[in-house]
Amino acid sequence: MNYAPAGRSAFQRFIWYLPALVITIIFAFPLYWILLTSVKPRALIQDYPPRFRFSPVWDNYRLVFESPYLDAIRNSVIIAVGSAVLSVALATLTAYGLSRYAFRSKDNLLFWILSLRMLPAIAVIIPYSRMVRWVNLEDTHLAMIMIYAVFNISFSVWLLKGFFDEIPRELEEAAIMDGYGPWAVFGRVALPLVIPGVATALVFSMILSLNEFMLAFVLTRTSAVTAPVALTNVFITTLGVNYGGISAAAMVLVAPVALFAILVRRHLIRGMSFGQLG
Amino acid sequence: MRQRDELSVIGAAGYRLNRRRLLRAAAASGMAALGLIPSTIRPGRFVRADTTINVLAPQWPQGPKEQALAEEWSKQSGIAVTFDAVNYANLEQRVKLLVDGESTDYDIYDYDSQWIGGFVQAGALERLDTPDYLGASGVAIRMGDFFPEITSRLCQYPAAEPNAQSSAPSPVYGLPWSLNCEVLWYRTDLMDAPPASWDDLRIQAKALTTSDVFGYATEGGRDADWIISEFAPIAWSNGGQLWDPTTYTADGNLNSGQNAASLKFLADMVNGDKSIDPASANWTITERLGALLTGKAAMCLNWSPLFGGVADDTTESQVAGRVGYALSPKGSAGQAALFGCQGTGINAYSQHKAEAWQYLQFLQSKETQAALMEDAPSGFVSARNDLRETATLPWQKVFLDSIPHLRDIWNLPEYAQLLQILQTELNLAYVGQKDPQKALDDAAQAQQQVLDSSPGNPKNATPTA
Amino acid sequence: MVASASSAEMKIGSVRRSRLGRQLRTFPWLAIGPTVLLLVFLTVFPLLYSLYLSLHNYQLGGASDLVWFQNYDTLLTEGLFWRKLLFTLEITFFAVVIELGLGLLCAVVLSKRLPGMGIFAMIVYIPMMISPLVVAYFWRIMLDGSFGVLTYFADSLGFGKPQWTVNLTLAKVSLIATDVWQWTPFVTLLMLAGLQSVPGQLYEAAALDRASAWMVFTRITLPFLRIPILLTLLFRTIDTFKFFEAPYIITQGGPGDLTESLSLMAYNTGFEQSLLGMGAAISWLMLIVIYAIAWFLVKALTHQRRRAEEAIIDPNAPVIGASGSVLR
Repeated sequence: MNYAPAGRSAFQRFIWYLPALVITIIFAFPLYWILLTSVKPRALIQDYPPRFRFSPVWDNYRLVFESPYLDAIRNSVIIAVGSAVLSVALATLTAYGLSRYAFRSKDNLLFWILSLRMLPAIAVIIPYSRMVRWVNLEDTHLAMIMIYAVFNISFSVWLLKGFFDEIPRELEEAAIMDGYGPWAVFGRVALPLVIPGVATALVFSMILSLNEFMLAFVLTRTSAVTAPVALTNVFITTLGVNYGGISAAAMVLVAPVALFAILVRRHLIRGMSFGQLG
Repeated sequence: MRQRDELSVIGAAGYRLNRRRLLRAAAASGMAALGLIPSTIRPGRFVRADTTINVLAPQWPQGPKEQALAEEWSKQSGIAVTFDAVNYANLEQRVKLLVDGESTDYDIYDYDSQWIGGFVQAGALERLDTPDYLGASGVAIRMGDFFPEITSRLCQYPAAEPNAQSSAPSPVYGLPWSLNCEVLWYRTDLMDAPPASWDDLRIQAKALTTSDVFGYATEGGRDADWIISEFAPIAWSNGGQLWDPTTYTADGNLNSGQNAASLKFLADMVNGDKSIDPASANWTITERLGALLTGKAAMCLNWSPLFGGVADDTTESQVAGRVGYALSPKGSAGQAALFGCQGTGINAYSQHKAEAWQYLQFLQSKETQAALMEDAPSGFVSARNDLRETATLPWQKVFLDSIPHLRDIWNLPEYAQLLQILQTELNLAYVGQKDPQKALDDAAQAQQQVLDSSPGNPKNATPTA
Repeated sequence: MVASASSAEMKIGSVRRSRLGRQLRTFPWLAIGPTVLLLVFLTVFPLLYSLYLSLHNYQLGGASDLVWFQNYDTLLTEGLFWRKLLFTLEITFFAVVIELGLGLLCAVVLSKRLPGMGIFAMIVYIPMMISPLVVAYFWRIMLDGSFGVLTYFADSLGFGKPQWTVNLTLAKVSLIATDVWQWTPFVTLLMLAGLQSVPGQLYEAAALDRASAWMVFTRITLPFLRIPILLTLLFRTIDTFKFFEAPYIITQGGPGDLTESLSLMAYNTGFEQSLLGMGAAISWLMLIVIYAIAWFLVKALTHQRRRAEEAIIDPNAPVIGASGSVLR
């Protein structure tokens, strides 16, 4: 890999531990605080000075696993995976096409795809809820998968086009000379080289679909209710916001995403490298 | 062949990964597809046998008990009842969206008193004072069974103020579901007696404020109806009004000198006396109650009997056994308790109205209501006249004692616009960024614009032929 | 290396080529077409419909009269929209700039490949995986001016109890901090990619020339970071401009409505007050603004990309070392 050579003095290398430590503390502390809150007895949540030591209770996690929230997580995962796969599959092809083939108004098309991500949810709530009702897909996973695909495709196309742009055309030209059709060139030459990009796009798409609130609130009810919406139904009651419960719910929801990211870690961290140039 | 060799050299690891990735993707899509099948073709809960009705309710403490009672009833009546409890903050919008889609998903909608105007305008609720429902011969319940002070406000629209006698009976759209109002919660170990008036409260709050404890806790937040729940009782008890309902006038009513003085009273407690935590400018009901229950505040207003005995629940409270309940304090013109009742009505688009009506009759029956009242965690008090004397819990009694003093905010369809305008201005005055009189003047002006264009405004009424 | 074909392969080859020609012509349509169709179906109609709504004084459950551009007129003349636009841009600007710097720093740290960095990486990546709604909720309790743990730290350090969510300036800082905390991981990933695309031999040559760390960074690393930086600016600006959960939950848009972002304003107007026509108008104005900003950013991005492409693809372009010597 291409990094600054280690020929520098040890001091100059290890000095980087200092900012690393500071940044780790800044990012990790809120995570530690959520974890702490998730096992804190409700009577102590608003205590001051804030309680760092107490005997943990597991009521919140019990509530997470016994309430409809668990079903909502299942829904969320289905929708997230479905939307990620659909959008990344489409985006990969599209990005390749946009990268390799020139045509008029290509830049406009690219910008239009980008602009879809700019949509504020509130603008399309009513139109989407009416459209979904017309095709009788109210409160279904399919509707959410397709709607989230819009936002996911937008980002994935831009990301993957960047990857495809970096692949030298000689490789593909060689393949074409050997008689491979464009599909084979795509599938056997180009695609394997952008695996990191595909993995990244999948992870980001999953994250967006799992955590979106507004559209899910309007378009789902009970069959396809997603985790963020269920969170507000289960953990906000007359007594107000159950912060311990929300923290536990957050921990449980992050787990599948973190797991998936760890699985594809090699691809992710090796880099959203914009191509192999070495 | 040479060609394949070249390709495999180029994409060696890539080719293998390609297959693995394809497998993973296939597995994922397979899983997704499996998940889709149930939800797209499954009959679901809403295509059901003729004997199931669905209730849409807020996450209220009486939910579990009501569900248990409904299950018992299902065995006798043959009508199954399912409940969907949603976050109270989203319930109004959820219902409006459902009604916009003429949805038949739910048969019964529970609503808060201030939403009734919007719901009636949207055609969400079935009218109940007809021969099909309340007027039917042999019907088990009548409007006369319930507290008249409450039903005139909660169940009818156009509605009179609570405790006011409306001269002409208005159409009935719902029945009482959950009764509650704001009362004073106070620490019995920190004071001999709760303050009787707002001035007393101010003095007592100041006296009780130390470096760790504030005398009074408020929900001063600007969203929903937080800060108005603090301001309105003070304003009303001093003789002020939010508007004049007969002439649809806010200007002159909301921004009266009296109201400005009431707002100044509240703001001075925060900024001058410092007997209220300044962080309360961003507080909701969660933090207000939390302040009392962690012992960081000596008094606060809170909804009873809705919160039941949470103060004595050691999993929620650090001051168990040390909290008492008193009426909302007096002002110069009497007492005012903020009305907080919720009603229940039949979805106008429901396909099971008769069954829903049967359920409502069951719900309002003496036995059911008594059972709910006896269940302490339900935070419930019945609206039935014949159960009035059976209240045993202190938080139920204090509500019943507050009935003569109930006052409510607007319930017209435009109430949310009026509310948000006022909330913003109240909050600005509360944090000391705006003079109270100016804040109310600005609010009244903006509100007057909304009221002037409201279809309900008598000035805009089209003359009837 | 292309082997010369035997006559048999040549024949097969020419047959293939004509089919190839057809495939080459249809391929772009098949690759791009379905996506575009899906996107058009899912976006054009809803957008036009919402534009249609914005021309009415449509209330959910109430009246709906055609009022043409009255909603827009009200928004643009009453000053409320401009104030919130300014606020939204202010937060967006600071959040994006800070994320850029912090993300770059994290990426540099990660790129040093020091032992134990796996944990650092995991921790840095987690915040963006949590729902923004949840992030907003627990930042709310951490920042509460009465019982928040961050308030406690400030108090212990002798600063008293800062009103993070009530004081206007502190509230803005709080909102920026929340966005930075959640989205710096995203920027880090982008920057890391850029850092890793720098060819190793450039660093070696710079070491030979005994170039200082600063020169290495500005002359060698930074040019390769231009694309990730501009991608960051583009996507983070677009996303942060729409920020909703943080002001809604952490500050409730307060004090008053001074921290109400445009998205929150659209939500309050369109949803809470049921004035969907006005809410749609606000969203359309938002779209116009962010469209304009993105347009400028993309112009810069395409310009940079073309420069980068030329530098990479042209094998004859010389690369100059810090000391002025030609490296290649």
